[in-house]
Amino acid sequence: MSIILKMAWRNIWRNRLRSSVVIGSVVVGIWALVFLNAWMRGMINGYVQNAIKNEVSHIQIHHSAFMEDKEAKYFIENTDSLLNKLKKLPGIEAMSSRTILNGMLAAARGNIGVRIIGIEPQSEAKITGLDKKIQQGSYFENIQSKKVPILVSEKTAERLKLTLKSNVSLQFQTLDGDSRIGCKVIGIYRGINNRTDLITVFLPQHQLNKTFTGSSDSSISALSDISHEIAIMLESTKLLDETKIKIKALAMPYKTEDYKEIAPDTALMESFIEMGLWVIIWIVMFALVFGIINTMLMAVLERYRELGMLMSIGMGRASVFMMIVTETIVLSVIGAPLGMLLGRITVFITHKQGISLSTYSEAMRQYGLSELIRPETDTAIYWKVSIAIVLTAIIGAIYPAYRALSLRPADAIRKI
Amino acid sequence: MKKVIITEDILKVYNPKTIPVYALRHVDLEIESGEFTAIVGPSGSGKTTLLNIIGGLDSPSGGKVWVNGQEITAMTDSELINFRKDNIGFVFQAYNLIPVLTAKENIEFVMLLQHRSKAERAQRVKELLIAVGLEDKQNSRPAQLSGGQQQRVAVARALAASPAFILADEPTANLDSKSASNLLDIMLDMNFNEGVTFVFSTHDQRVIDRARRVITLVDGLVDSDVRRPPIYLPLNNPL
Ligand SMILES: Nc1ncnc2c1ncn2[C@@H]1O[C@H](COP(=O)(O)OP(=O)(O)O)[C@@H](O)[C@H]1O
Ligand SMILES: [Mg+2]
Repeated sequence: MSIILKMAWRNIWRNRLRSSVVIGSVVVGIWALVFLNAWMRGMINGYVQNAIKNEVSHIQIHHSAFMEDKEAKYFIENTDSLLNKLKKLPGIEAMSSRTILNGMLAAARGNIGVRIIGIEPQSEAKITGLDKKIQQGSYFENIQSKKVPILVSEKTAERLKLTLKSNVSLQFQTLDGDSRIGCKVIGIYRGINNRTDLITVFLPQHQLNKTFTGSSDSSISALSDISHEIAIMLESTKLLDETKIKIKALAMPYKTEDYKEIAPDTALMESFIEMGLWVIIWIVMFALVFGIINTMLMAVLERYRELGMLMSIGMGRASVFMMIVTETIVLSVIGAPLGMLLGRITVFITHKQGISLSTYSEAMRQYGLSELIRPETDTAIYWKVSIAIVLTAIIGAIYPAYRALSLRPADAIRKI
Repeated sequence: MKKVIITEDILKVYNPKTIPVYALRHVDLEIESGEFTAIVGPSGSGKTTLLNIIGGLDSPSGGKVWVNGQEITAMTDSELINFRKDNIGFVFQAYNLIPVLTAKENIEFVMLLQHRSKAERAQRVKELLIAVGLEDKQNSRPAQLSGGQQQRVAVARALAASPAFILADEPTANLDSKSASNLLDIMLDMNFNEGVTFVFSTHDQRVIDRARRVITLVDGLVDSDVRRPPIYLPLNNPL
């Protein structure tokens, strides 16, 4: 066996240029593969992290019927006591409870259907950083007006020609009928997704709850601290599974879900990483296999007499086959570590710096993608690529090796 | 004497269906152990064809061949490969050696295929390198050797497997006369001192002069088969 390896290795260097072309293609192919995968992973993780940070958080708690049909009557009672219990769990970074109602935003220039979200400003700031997204005006600070303060998005403001201090009114169903609140725009925000921005407005939760539950004095009403959603941000996504179990236990009978369940697109996106990897592997390996076959076929045809001689002196067909296959594998595989290393380095550098797609930022925002992509890899890709390249080499070896086997020693020797 | 090769009514027709070429016709031969036999004849007379058939590289269109008492014409392809490895040494006109292996590794190669022990291989390679006078070239690759040196390595390689006989198809055809006589001296010496059986084809008169049996082929037929004392003897002839 070692003699076959030795011969394979030395045979590769008989035609340096030709072998270098194959090795170079493998290096470039694998480099591209690792980088493209990391790019995709970076983009998708960016998307998922964006979604976690700005929208879904890591974990959410709802009334078990709320996610099905978002009706206001499916709320969580005694939110404050639940929050107090959850607070004691380790690994939780922030929590925010929200009251979520569907309603109508009416302004002088028209109406649009909106999702009215009642928030506790301090907690919400910690969870989604809503305070940092204010483009004009302020985030529920220094409120003098008697009217309920409201945040609308740039898109909404544009659509309804709203400015700071514009008066609007919100209409929605309360627990016992319809209601209307007069609001004053105190801030205009810009979220990460134009489409959801347009239909989302924020106001203080206690003020929304007051109207919604019909309790004029919040301190005595049992319903004063209801909410539809509790969003929880963990210290790290890695803590998701273990923390989720603990939260679930405390939140019963309410339903605890993680971001993959709440926003299935994130789970789908994550599965794209794997799918995309295989697509790229297929493309790269498909391209490489032809170069490999071509090179090895030339090598076999050039060595026709030599192979005839080897078979004449007693080298069996299995050994000849093994020799060609080994040579092909070695030829195909030598470039792989270098390709992976270059890929790793490229990913390392681009991850650190981030790749800015600011030229396309509008388009990216449409889909909730961030404009700064940080490519990243996981270690599994290296062995997946290794397996793929070995398989490619084996596939590439079959035809040349078959050609080598089909030669008849007497004919090959005659060519001498 | 033991008969190492017997052929019985060998017929070889190339392209039987298109333009048949009768390369061998009714060849009956017996070659005994220890013989030093030259197969001579003009180009196209069938020398290579005969050696290929005796060596199990090609199959005859008719007739039978026994080597060492075994009928090789009845063997399958893979049986033949195995049989060649253990019983027959080959020296071709050129391209005898594996270019990527050194002289030493080339000689060792067949023994590796035979799964011989490392110690045995090393011992035998050393002896053979001395026998062909190339101890100092053991680590050279074929490209670094002269044509004569390459053929000497080829002879050593052919002998390494301890075959019943060595078939050499025009081994000196590409050599200058000095290298040719040198190679022949080595072969003759091995024949005399070790009893190695050689069958070679040639139309080189110097080679023919050293042979003790000369079989002449003409148009695929054995024209004459003469046993005689050699004109030259090896230099270190013990006799
Ligand atoms: N593969 C082949 N196909 C057809 N004819 C062949 C083939 N090999 C040899 N011949 C013919 O067979 C005859 C004997 O050839 P060969 O054995 O090579 O003779 P020699 O070695 O004495 O020169 C020649 O006429 C040659 O042209
Ligand atoms: Mg010939």
